[in-house]
Amino acid sequence: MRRTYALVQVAIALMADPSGRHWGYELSKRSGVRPGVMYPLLQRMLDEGWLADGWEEQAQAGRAKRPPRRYYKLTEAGMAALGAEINGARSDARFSSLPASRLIRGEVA
Amino acid sequence: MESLILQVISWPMAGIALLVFGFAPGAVLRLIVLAFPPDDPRRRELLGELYAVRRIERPFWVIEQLEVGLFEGLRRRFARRKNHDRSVGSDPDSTTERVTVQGLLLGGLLNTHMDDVGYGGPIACLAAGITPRQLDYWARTGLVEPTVRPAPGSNPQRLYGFRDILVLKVVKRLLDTGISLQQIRTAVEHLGAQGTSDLAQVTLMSDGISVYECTSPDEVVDLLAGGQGVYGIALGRIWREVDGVLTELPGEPTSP
Repeated sequence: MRRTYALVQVAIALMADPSGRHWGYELSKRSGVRPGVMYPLLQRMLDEGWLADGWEEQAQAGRAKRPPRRYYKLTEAGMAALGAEINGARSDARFSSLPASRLIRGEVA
Repeated sequence: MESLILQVISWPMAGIALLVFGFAPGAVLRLIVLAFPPDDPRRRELLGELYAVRRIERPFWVIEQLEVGLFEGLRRRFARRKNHDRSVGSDPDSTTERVTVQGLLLGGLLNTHMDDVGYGGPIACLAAGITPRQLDYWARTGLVEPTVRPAPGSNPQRLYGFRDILVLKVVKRLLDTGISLQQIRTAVEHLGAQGTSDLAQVTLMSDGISVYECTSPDEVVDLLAGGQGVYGIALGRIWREVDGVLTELPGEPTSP
């Protein structure tokens, strides 16, 4: 995958919580990447095996009277790959405008 | 033309747009997700996400999803159409595959591959034509697990049997025709329930959306006539391909 600005932003948002479930809407907000860019990116990460996906338990959704939501989880391969992306981005001038603190926080795991 | 533009920007239209986006974002979203192929999980996903968005933000969020539908949904549909056209065209490879099904039924395949030999990950990748990453991912998600020696996590000590490698190659071929992983999972589970000797007689037919199993040439012809089978994967042929590659490669005996 080419290291794009959007990829690094999504990588940082995912790596902020490497073992948690990520939901599309929150992920888009936290990463600041529009859904039109983020969803195709998530799909490519799924195809690469960096992410696994799943559906929220029916009971939980049923209580709130809404359809179940789809979530994404980092795989071990994904943690390694995205960690490398973020590391690479830190030494890349193109991404210097991304706040360093966020880049460092993204290094967790 | 001029009047059309005037009509579009006129107040009633603006009123309708406000009504639709302001009061019925759910209905508009339902229209947007129609851009995706019917079995695409993104359809359900976006409808589910709507409820997570704060009510006041929903109209704006729905407008953003228009972009998702246009770029991702339509592109995916287009990609399937392209696969479709390519396999309908005079591709000599796919026609020979269809013909060989009949040959297989006559000849029958030797059941020479018992499960007494296992192959490590790298060899399985090589024989199936997939990347180590795909192999690892499929094993961990339970799509194709090594049956000779399963290994938890990403332990490299897995051993794949001949049949596993056959399935790996079939999954790869189905992916290449544009079938979704969900559909492939169903197909693999179905194949897993069958005896090894039956497998060689199966031809999987696909129209880029669904997978059909054919066990006789007549069924293949029926599907082709109905327009549902445009891409054939004869398991017997894949069998021989895998067999050819594996005889060149070292396997590990599993019994001590």
